[in-house]
Amino acid sequence: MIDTLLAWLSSALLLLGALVGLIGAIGVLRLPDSYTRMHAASKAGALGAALVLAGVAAATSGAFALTTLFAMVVVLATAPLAAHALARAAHRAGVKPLPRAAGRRAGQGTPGRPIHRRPGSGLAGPLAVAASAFRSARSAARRLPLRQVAEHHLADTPARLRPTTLRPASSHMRRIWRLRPSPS
Amino acid sequence: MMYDIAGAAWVLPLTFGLLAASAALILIRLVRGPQAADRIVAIDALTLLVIGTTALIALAAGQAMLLDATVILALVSFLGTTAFVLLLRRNGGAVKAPPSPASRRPTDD
Repeated sequence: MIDTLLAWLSSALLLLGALVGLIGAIGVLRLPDSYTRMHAASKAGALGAALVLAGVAAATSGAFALTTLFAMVVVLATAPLAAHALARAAHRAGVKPLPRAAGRRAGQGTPGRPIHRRPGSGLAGPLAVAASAFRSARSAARRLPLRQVAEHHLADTPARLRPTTLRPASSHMRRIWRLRPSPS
Repeated sequence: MMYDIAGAAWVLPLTFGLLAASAALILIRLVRGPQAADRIVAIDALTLLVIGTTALIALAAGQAMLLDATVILALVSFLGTTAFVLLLRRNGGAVKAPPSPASRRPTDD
């Protein structure tokens, strides 16, 4: 009874450990940044190795439990230390984490701002979506007349002096027209 | 070294295959990694993978001695990662072209 239970447990642990290791490897390959790759490598890799070692311990029905347990403890204790040292050294060596927008461009993260986390909105779910849509529409409506004002001021300048886009060329012009830089 | 695994005929090859696939993915990152930190991350993940693989080989080959090798590898992998970490320098370890003598400004000293 105990033996069959241990046999099933060991096969389950081995497969689970290999799967977690595979997920960590996919993360190491696919994540966009050194730091996120570290995150995938250290945690998923250590958990996969520990699970495989536990599966080995269960497969031998405890005959080598002490050795495998020691190896598990060593792996689980040193992998976070190594990852921390690596992250600290990378930070001190000037490795830059990817900015948020670039990560979003690389397909990571959610498109757009996380509307349910915006401070001050307190609304949840579809209400927050509606509130966010209303806010963006209002700010666009605020922006539009200012652009028309700028076009009006630019109407009597010769075409070769006219900027191709209505982005203010300097902070001085921005102060006069109260223009925000257009989101590009 | 006796072992007892439910469905050992397919569990052990499947586990070996999964570990080999992860090793291949990590090797791609090791070759491609744009910065030195990425390569060190790949080496770290690879040693963690090899720890599991060695324990599995010990099981499949029936060699209890390989479990001791697993323990030693678990102890040494930390030292290996730390030694690579000490090699990280400024600029992320990217190789920088030395300034050519023509562009160097003459200093009056």
